[in-house]
Amino acid sequence: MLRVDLSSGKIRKEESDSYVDEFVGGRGLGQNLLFRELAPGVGALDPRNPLILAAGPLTGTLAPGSGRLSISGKNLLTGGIGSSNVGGHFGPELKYAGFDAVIIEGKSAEPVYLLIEDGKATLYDARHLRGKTTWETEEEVRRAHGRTARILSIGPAGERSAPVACIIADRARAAGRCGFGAVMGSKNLKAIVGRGSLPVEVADPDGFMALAEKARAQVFSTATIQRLRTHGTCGSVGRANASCTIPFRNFQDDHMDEKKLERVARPVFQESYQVRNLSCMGCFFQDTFLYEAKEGEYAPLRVEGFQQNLVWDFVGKLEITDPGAVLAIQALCSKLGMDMDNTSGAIALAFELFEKGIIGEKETEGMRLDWGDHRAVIRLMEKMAHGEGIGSILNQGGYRAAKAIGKGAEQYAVHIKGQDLAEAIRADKGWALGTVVAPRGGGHLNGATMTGMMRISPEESMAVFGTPYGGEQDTYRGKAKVVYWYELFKSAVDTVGLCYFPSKWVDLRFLGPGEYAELLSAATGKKFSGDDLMFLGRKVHNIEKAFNTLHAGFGPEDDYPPGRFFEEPVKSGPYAGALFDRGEWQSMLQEYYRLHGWDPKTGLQTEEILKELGLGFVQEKLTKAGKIRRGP
Amino acid sequence: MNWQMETKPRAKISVDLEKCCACRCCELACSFHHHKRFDPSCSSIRVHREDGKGTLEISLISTCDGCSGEKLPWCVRFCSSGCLRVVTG
Repeated sequence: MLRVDLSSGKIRKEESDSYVDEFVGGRGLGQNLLFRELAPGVGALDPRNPLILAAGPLTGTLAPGSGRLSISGKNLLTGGIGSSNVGGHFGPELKYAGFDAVIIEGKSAEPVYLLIEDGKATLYDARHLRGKTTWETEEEVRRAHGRTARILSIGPAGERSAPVACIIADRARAAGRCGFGAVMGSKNLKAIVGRGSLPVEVADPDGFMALAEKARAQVFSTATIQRLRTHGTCGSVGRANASCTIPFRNFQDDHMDEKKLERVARPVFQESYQVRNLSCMGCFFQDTFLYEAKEGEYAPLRVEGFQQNLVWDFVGKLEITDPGAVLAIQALCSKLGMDMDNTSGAIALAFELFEKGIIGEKETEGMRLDWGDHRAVIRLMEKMAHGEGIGSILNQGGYRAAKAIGKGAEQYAVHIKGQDLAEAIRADKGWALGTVVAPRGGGHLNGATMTGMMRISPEESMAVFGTPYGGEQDTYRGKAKVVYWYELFKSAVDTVGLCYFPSKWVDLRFLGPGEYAELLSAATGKKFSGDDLMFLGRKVHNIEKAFNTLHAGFGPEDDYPPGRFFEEPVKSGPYAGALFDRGEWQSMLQEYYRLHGWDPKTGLQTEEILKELGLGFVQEKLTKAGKIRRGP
Repeated sequence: MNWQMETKPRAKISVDLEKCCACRCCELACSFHHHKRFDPSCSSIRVHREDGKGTLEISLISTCDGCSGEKLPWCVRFCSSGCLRVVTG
C-alpha cells in the first residue's frame, strides 16, 4: 500500500496486511480506511479528504472480469460516503506496479501527476497539462512514460472542482459518481499513472487456474453472454423501454416513443458506426465497441462506445436521437471529465425549467433549451466544464443547481441524497429500492435488482433470495429480501476486485458467492465460503451506512424516492399509471431495515449487529454521536 | 487484417486483428503457463491498444515455444474473441 501526501510531497509504503486480513481489498479495504481516517465535519474538497484507490486480490488475474479498481473518498454531492469503480486497464496495472492500494491525501501547491512504477512512486510537475482534456493528458503522459502506461486523469471540469467532474481511465471509462474528479482537482492532482512489470501471484496457481477456467465455461454456457458480446448493454434498450426505465424528458415519463428510440438503437450503431469490439483487461465479455463517425456534423470522431446509462441520460432525459450527437456527447463527457449521470441530470433540469418558464433566455444567455437540441446540450456541457455563465450553476449537479436557482426549481431536480438519478424507477420496485437506499446516493450498483426485468421464476427466486416474488417487477412484496441479498453480494464482488457482469446480478446462472469464494481461497490460501463473502459484504455495507449517518446525518427520509414520483405517474408504455405509494414504500423500507438488523423506524444501526459483524470501531463512533440503537 | 505467426517448434497461430478486443487474456495465460503467475511483462505475446488512433497491435516475442506439449497454446485457449487460432494442415 502506498501513501502519498501531496502537501509535503512525501510518499511512503505501508503494510496493508492487517487491513487485508479483515477487509480483503478493493471496496472493503477502501471504505474501511476512509471510515477510520476521516473525521465527520471535514468536507470533500478539504485536503484531509483522502482519495483511496484499491484493487482487489483477484484484480489482474484471469478470474472473470478482473479489470476493476475501487475508489473511496468523501462524496462531494451527498456529503456522505463516496464509492466509485472503474474498469479498463488501470486496476491491473496498479497491481503490476507493485501495489494493492494508494491513499492520496493533502493538496499540492502546483498541478502534479503521480507515476507509480515497479514498487516506487514519483510526483511530476503537471503545469504543462493544465486545462488539457483527459485525451490530451493521456497522450502527453504516454509520450513521457511510454505507451504501456495506464492513466487515470481529470479534465477541465475536475480542475475547477465542479461536482459533476469524474475521473477517466483509458479515454472512455469513468469512475463517474460522487464527484471524485473534483476531489482530485482540489488536490491539484491531474493524473495518476501506472506502469509495471511485477507479477500478480496466487497461493495455489493450478487450483486457481482450474477454477478460473471453470468459471469462464459457466458464464459462456448461456445465451446472455452471447447477447452481451454482440450488443453490449445497449442491446437491451428496447427491453429497458418496455420495462419503463427510460427517464423521458427529465423523468416526465419513464417510457419513450419507440420510433424515436430506434434512431439511436444498437442496430444503427452496429451497422453504421462500429469499428471493433473492445474489452477491459482480463475480460471475455468484449461488450464495448469502438465507434467511428465518418460523416456528419461531429465527424471525424472515434470513441469507445457508451453503455445503457448514456441512453437513459441523454437519449431519455434530453431526447437526443441523433446518433452522431450521441457519440459526440460520449466523447465530450470523457474529454472534459464529466459524469454522465450528474451532468445530464443538471442539464435536463435546466431544460425542464426552461419549458416551465422558471428560467428563460436571460439566465441561459440567449440560448433556447428545447428538448432534443443536441447543440444546446453540448454548449451547456462546455459551459459547465469551464464554469461559464449558467454552467457554473449547473456543474454543481441538479440538486444544488435547483437550490441556487430557487423559484420552485427544487421539485424538478431528480436526485437521491443530493446526487442525480440516472434511471427511471417508478415501474420496478426492486430496482427502485436498491437505487434509493444505495449509500453513495442513487445508482444501481448496490442493491438494485434486475430480477424483475429478467422475469425470473418463483422457484429461481426462492432458491436464491428466499422469496418467490423476485421476478415481479411492479410489486413491493419480497423486494427488500432481493435488494438485501444484492447489497451484500455486490459489496463482496467489489471487494475481491471483480466485475458484476459475469455475476448473478446479470444472470442467475452466472457466478455467485460460492464461486467467488473458491477463487478467493485459491488466490489467497485462506479458506473462504460463500457465506463468509456475504458476511464480508455485510460488514462493508454497514461501514458505508455508518459513514452516512455520521458525516451526512442521513435518516429514513433520505431513503425515499424523489417527491414527484409519488405524485406523477408514468404516462405511457406497459407500466403507464405506475407511481409510488408512501405507505407501501414505508413497509418495504422497514422490512429492508429489519433484514439488516437495523432499527425499523429510525433506520439506525444497532449495537448487536455491529458486535456480530466485529465492527467495534464503528460502534464506538456511532455511540459517541448518539446515533445507535439497542435491539431489536 | 489476417496474418500468421510462426511458433517454434509447432504449428502456426493465425491472427485476425479485427476480432481482437484487447482483453489481454492471452498475455495473462502465456505468463501463467510459463511462470505460474500473472505477469504481462514476461508474456511472449503482447497486445497494444493505440488509443489515440483507435488501432491495435499484436506481437509475438521469440520466447514463444508454442506451448510445446500442450493440447493448445495457452494464448489460443484463453482467446475468447476468435482472434487467435491454431493453423492446422
